[in-house]
Amino acid sequence: MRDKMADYEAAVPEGLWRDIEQSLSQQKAVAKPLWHRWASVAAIAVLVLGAGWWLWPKNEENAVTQPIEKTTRQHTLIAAAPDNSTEPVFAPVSKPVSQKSIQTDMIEEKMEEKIQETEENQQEQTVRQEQAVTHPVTSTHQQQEKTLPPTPPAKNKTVSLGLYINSGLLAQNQTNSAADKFLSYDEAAEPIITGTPSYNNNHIEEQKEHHHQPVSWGLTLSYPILPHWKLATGLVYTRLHSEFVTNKSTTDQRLHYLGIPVSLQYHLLDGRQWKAYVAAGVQIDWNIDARQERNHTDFPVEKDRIQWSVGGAVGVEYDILPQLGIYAEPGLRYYPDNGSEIKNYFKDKPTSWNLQFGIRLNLGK
Amino acid sequence: MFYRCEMETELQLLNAIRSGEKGAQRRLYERFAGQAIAIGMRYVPDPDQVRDVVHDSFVKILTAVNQFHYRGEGSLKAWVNSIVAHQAINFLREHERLQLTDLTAEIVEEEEPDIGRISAEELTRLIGQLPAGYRMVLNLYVFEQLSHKEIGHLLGIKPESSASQYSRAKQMLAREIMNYLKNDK
Repeated sequence: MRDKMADYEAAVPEGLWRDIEQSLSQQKAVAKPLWHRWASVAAIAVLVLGAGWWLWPKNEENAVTQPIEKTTRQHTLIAAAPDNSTEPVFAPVSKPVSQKSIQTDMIEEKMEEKIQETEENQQEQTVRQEQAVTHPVTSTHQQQEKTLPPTPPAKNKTVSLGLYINSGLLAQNQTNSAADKFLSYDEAAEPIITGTPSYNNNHIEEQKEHHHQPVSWGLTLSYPILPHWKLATGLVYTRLHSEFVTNKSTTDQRLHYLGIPVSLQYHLLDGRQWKAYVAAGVQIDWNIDARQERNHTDFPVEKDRIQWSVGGAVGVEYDILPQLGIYAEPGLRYYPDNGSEIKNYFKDKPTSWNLQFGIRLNLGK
Repeated sequence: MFYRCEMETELQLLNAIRSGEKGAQRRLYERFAGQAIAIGMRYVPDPDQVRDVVHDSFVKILTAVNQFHYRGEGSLKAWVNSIVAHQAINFLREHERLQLTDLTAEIVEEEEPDIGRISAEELTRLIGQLPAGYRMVLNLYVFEQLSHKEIGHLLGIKPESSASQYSRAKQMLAREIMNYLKNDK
């Protein structure tokens, strides 16, 4: 039947080419520039930071009273510098422009700017307050901060807003081993092309699957509920990419998920700059889009069912500024089988290691 | 032009398109449009919808033609056809709820109809009239040559469901063909 139909040509409706030509010329005109996407990412970041600034309690008075209190204690020199730095930072961090994208190089740049601005502010304040601090605040304040005792639990009462990227660990290893498989497969496939037709009639189909490491981008909000304990939730976007290779074709599969994580953090260390914690939680992911691509055409496929997962992690956070920290969080996550027919990374490796990097804005009290 | 009596090869056509030769895109269209319509009709029963599918397919083909990897004569045709097929599958997925037809009737081995006596045009029409689930699986299995495993994956159904849809579709089509041939006599 297939052979019979192979060369069958049906009558072509009139005017079809004209329409196609028209669509083609229109398409050229509306090619969407890439910066649109970045602009929307930036807009979201600006919005989040704007909201953060708005929620921020503006207690300028404390800025003056706190340092004085401390100076009456022993460590005049040490305490004055970092505590001065606590408050003036409001201004620079509030500039939403400084958080436009998650690109680390940009962040680093901005950080430098902020630190500079902070220092300027500090100097201004030092002058204004005419404190007993004889040395101007210098960049060595990092060292001084380390010598400080851990912050009191009251400091814990801060809501944190975070942006992060999460990726599977050991990605390198896996890709390599899979690449090897592909290679050996290609070698095996070679005879088909060069002409041993017996292979072709083989109805046993080998399908090689390769699931790339999942990548997630997330927005989190964490809130202290008890001393040392924080509750965190947010919104996570996850992308899964898989390839299915048979003797006939390669299919690319992309699944997009939107998820809500809920986790509890227990803080083991709450230093002024360094924080360490363990976290455990659950996440629920909805598959919002599922597509496959074969032979340059992409088409939607059946969506995955709801996917639950549980996970644990240890985290280390370093606060560049009291209000702004960077953190890394290696963790382990388990995805139980959700019973759907969709093949993806979660089914392939229900238990997997991952590493999360992010920034946290600590909206202080 | 007269000196182009021998058919342009796919490679020549591709090169002409890639070098921006005027009229080359149209030549690609004219060469493959008839087949494209035929493929569309196998998947989508309504002629206006077939037109839309083929329109979108050619827009896609002509925009993506620079990324196409030429693998010998015939590969362009195969690529064009597969885009049309996928476009049609897309269309069906978006516009027609894919319902697996489950007529619990026993599958009885009937005699195979003589396909040689029916025209390709008529066969296309009969396939286009099958219920959605049958039509989709039959097209994917016979014409796209996907395995039941792949079909299951593509449609989010079990491979066994694909296999049973296929055998039912085949049976139904056979009956339709027999009827047609009988009435035609």
